[in-house]
Amino acid sequence: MAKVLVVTSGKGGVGKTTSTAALGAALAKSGKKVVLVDFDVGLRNLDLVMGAERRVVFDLVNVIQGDAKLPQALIKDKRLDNLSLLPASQTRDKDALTSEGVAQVIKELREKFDWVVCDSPAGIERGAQLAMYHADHAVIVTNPEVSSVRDSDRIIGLLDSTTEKAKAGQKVEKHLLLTRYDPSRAARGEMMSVDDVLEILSVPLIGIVPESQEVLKASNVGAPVTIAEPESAPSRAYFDAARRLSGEKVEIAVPTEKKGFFDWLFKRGAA
Amino acid sequence: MAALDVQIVRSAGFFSGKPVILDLSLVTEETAHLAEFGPALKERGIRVIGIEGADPEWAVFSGWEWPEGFAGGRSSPATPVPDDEHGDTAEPETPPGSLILEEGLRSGQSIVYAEGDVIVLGGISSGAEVSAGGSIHVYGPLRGRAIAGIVGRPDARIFARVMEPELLAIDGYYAITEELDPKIVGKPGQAVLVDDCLIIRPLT
Repeated sequence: MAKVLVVTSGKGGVGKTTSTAALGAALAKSGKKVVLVDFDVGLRNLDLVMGAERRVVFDLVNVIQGDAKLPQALIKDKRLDNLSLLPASQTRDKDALTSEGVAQVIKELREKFDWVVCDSPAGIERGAQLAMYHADHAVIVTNPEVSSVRDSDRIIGLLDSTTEKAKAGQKVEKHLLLTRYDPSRAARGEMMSVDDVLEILSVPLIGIVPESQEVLKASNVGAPVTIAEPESAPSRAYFDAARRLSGEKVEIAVPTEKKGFFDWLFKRGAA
Repeated sequence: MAALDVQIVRSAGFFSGKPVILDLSLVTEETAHLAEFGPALKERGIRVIGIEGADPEWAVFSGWEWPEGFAGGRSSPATPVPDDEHGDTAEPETPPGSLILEEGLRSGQSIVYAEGDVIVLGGISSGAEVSAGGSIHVYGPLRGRAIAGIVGRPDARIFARVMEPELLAIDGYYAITEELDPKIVGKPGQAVLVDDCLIIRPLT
């Protein structure tokens, strides 16, 4: 049974697209057939993060408007056979998406894949609503800071009231992914603690991804961090999160200040 | 009058405790049943605080309790009109008196329940809002806005297990976080209106 997962946050710049790519690649590495769908029409980025920007011919809007068939628009990843991307259109805006069109595309994708991972645009408007509407699971990407936490709270309220599941009296399964977590700042009390965030949002935690150079570097070379640096700390967090999504019980590791990690950072800074 | 009864049956709390001003400019001294109209309203618990467009000297008004005119009045902050996108939580079947919310309210959600008390088993997040005709009881943290006594009830109170509100209001008198006693913020507390002053006390 295919599952539709939306990666959402409300606030922009917290790491939705990066997390979509990293989680999607991690799920694909576990043998599942995965498709990543970019819903950020007009501001597409997922193709860049996946390194597929030079292979985009048709996009989500073309499929919805009937200009192209779904298989024509899907881009197969060169590194992982069972990972595909459905890019968003850069020349259109979110009004080009219709709810019937999105429903049809999601239905077709459900038949072909095990996981349909939707990268939501920021905000709570139409684009974000359409991205979350068909979701069975939601990963709420949150940074440990008050504005991000409040926006996530708003999004959780929408997930519980405006999605297809909510309208049928069911619940979208929600998971909290804490990103850009800085262990040294957390230790000095300059950042919201994991417990504070969990207390406010009361959504089960799926992983804590430390702020790190590997993630930034991977995005810039067009590879999800779970493919580019699979042994790094953020990759381990994403792999564990993917296993939890698949239903495995894995203990959550809270990143701590590691000497080796810091030496490495320091060396990079000096070089 | 029959239509009014239907309205009362359909929405029991529609008139409860609300001040009503009658506009009688469309009727004349000779209008049929006008003599019974006033007592009939009183019988149905509708509180008439003013009558316009008619003369109290008319003979038909002999059976009426003519309300005293009012002047002055005090300004109170306008109650914001929240967009209720969480409408599914409001259960019309609940008998008037109290509304129980099994889950808390997330940022951006709002509930208006003029008929009576609101009891929230979860928390009220920052950016969420509860308005109640009566008191508000929050068994989780209260971090959003709580507006009690919206139908003009100064005896309404706000209780919370963790008092960290953005705004508290009772019967139009309000206080924001900055004005609250920092010793109580974050602790169990209740807000009451004493001499038109909103104060919060610890809950012990």
